Amino acid sequence: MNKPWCSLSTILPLLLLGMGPLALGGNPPAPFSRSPYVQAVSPHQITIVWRTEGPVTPVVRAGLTPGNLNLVVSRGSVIERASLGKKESEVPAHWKSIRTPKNLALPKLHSAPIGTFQYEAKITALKPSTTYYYAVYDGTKRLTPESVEYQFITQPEAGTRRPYRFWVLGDSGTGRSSQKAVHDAMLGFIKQDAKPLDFWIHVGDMAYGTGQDTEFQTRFFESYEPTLRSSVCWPTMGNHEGSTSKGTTGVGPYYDAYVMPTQGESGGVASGTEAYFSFNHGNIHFICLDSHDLDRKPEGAMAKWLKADLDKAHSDWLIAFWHHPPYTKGSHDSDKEKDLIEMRSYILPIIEAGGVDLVLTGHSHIYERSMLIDGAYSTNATTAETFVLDDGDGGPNSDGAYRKSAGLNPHLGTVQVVTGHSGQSLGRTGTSPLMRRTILEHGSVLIDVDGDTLTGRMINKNGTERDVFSIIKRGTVAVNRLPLPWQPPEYKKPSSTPSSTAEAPLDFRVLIPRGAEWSYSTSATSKGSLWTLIDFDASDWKVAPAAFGRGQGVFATPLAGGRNGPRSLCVRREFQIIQTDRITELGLRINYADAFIAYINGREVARVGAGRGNGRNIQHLNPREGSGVQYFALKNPGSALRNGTNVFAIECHAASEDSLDFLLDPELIAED
Amino acid sequence: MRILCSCQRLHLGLWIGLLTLMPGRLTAHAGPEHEIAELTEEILFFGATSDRLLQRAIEYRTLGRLKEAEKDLKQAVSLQPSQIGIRRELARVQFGIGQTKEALQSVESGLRISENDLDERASLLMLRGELQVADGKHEKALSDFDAAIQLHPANADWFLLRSGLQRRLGKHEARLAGLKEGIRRTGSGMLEIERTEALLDAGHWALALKQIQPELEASRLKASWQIRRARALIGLQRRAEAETDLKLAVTEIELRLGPGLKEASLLGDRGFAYELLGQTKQALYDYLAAMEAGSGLEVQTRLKALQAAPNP
Ligand SMILES: [Fe+2]
Repeated sequence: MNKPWCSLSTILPLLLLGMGPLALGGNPPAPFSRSPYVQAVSPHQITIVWRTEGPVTPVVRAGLTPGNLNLVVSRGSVIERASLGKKESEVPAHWKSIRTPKNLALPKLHSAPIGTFQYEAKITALKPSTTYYYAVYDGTKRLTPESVEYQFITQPEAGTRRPYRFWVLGDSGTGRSSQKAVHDAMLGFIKQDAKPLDFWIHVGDMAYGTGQDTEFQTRFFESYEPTLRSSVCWPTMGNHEGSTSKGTTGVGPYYDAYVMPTQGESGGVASGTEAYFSFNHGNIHFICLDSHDLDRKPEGAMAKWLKADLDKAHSDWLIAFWHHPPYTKGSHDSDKEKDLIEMRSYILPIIEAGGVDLVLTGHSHIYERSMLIDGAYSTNATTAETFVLDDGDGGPNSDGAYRKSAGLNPHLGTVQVVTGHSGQSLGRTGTSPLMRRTILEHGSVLIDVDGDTLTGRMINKNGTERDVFSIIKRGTVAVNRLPLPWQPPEYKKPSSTPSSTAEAPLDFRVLIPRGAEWSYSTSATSKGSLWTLIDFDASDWKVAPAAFGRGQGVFATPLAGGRNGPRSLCVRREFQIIQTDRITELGLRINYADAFIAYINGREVARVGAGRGNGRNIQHLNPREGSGVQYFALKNPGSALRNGTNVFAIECHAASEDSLDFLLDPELIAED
Repeated sequence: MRILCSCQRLHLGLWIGLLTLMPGRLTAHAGPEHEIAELTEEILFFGATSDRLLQRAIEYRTLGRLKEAEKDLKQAVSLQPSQIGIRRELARVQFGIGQTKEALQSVESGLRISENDLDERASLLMLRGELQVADGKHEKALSDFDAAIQLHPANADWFLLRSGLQRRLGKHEARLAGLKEGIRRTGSGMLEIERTEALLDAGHWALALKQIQPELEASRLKASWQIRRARALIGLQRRAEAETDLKLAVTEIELRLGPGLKEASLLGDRGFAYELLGQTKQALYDYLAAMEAGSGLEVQTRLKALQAAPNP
């Protein structure tokens, strides 16, 4: 049968001209629109999740060897969700046929591109601590390749002591090079010491800028695809995801993306919500909180659940994670911001009274790691006196590991790790007096737990180990509150910070390539902005390839007139988009002099070097400082775009009458 | 070169700042003050949109600058009157400032346009209920909570809020029925605990004791459950056993409180244990400390009752 979505997948790359360097994952192979990944693992079950463009007959097979996938989960046992558009009129023609009564009755995906189907297959009756291989099928047709990489390990039974390793990262979902470098560095590190991940934790801000479905797809799922397919990512919601997903109702792209235990399926007290939950992994008990949009007060539901969960935890280790750090002087300041202050003053007392050993957070774009601390809950400026129990560096080969008594005991000290440095641009405002290490580099954290010893390592984006600390829980250790603990050196803000230019996404397609032919005019600016509209008749315009220019350099289309030539140039060109709701970001890579305004279908989407007005009425033109190609993410192009033919237009201006250099060399790209 | 007047220079300075920042705006997030500065520039040059104003209001709110947040949200509402979420944010901020009347108006205006967004309508009804509670209109609050839960019966937190109000109103049987429904809908372990509390409040001592026993055995930290068992035992006239439980609970809480005495729920628990032991002075002290550490209506109700009792 010739399915419309098959043909769409085939023609899409052809219609969207050219291909970017798909270094950061790239789009999944058809018919997948989200490659299979593992979720909600426990000793006896796991859930495999995937998405396709258009419906399939979902089947998952799993087994102890790649050649014998004898466990089968098929339609009827698979949860199906779909995005079919709110009303018929907004559905592209090629998806009209899937709006059947049966499909319309399926639970809805919040805002996935129209035509998306999501499948969640729970495999049960598994053995603990066991490696299984799996494959996803459409009926009898295998969709995943014959590869041993589609495998997972079930959780050990609660309490089992053996070495465990997990990865922690935060604030990573940009789709840019630092995110990829941090991921690659972690993969390189674990390969080198031959200790794979058991699972990983993302402490939030995984899909910039507003956690939209397409941002999740390109900046999280495609970025971490190889890691997601074989190890479970346990998440907590960041404020950026919180723009489109709500903890109170459990609705949004974040809640579509993850399957979390609400009934205590993976250990702990049932939370009844995916916003906060707990799980066991061997001899470690993990607690995830939503610090973004739920009541943080002691009588709020989350705090009550936290206390109840801690009351019942019997593991060797307790680790908690959420997004907003109680202590930070990175890109955020925990002494000034309400969310952070409330997590410190309301939630941390419960955490420390419950005997938590390690707290993992993000939000602040920096790596900060504390000494062994307890009891610093002030709503005013945080101080260190009497709140530090060990002011050494915790390094097993330097000052020595932090020591705590065996078992779970209140107020014996916690280590705080802020790991918001896994992709987003970094920032620092000062130094928290409780931090032993403050490092302004991109990276992530690997945690190893082996019996009574926990070791954390910060691996930067080059793969270098930049910090290591250990906690050993053994025997009986007396608590010593230091009246004058070691203090980190005061932070001196650099007199000038180097200005950074925006970076293009790594995974993109070219819509209009460099050197493409454009219709152009040097007199259109006198016609207002009508010439930027899609139905404008530009048949009397000349057509020529970019780059356009005069002055220094070689141009495919030199502009006549030298110093006295035209001071403005208008260019326009059509491009095709099959389905606009699959676009994450539209961007312009452009070399220009001196100023330009860009339009999609008549709507202004970028303005650089120019003040108010346009065309002949343009004000405040600035000579461009610097040269070369720059990247600009276009502003809110989504509502201007339409399925099918669109028009991209640019007006370029020289800054002054005697400006000799004039240049326009654009390239339009799409992150999808 | 043209010479700029100071006003133009100011604008250009802002403009150039904007140009370097604008390309990264989709992804940048460098602290609320920085965000506010950027959004202010954007508003100055590209104009105020509801989206920009909402973003700036969120940053103001993070910094506790609620008046400025309110101003932005009001303007955002006027620019995009159909956005219910902005009206809800505005109501929350007004509630935070203590402008209950204005907050109520904002909620009402949201409710009028929420017919087609049932999740949003439910959130607004819950918020109106909270506002009614603050205003002392408990019956109205309860009907709002009921209506919200009916629209969105999957939120354990809402079941808990309603249960707290029903407890204060002495509607024990309705509370038990509501919690049973909440447990069925959400499976929340916290609602199970609340149900035990509700059984105790309703005087179903034997039934409560049956629930408490296995919980106590399964717990590492036992104080909360020891206090609950003590209540049941007191109800069953087994005072001596209850006192043993209460003393054990006080001992455990002392160990867990740490030097700062900042864990509100433990302070509330210890205060209750002291109250049940008849040690009113210590109970009052702990209740006040709990309020200081962030406790709300639950502890406040106990505190007021204790203060109102003869010979406190
Ligand atoms: Fe954040």
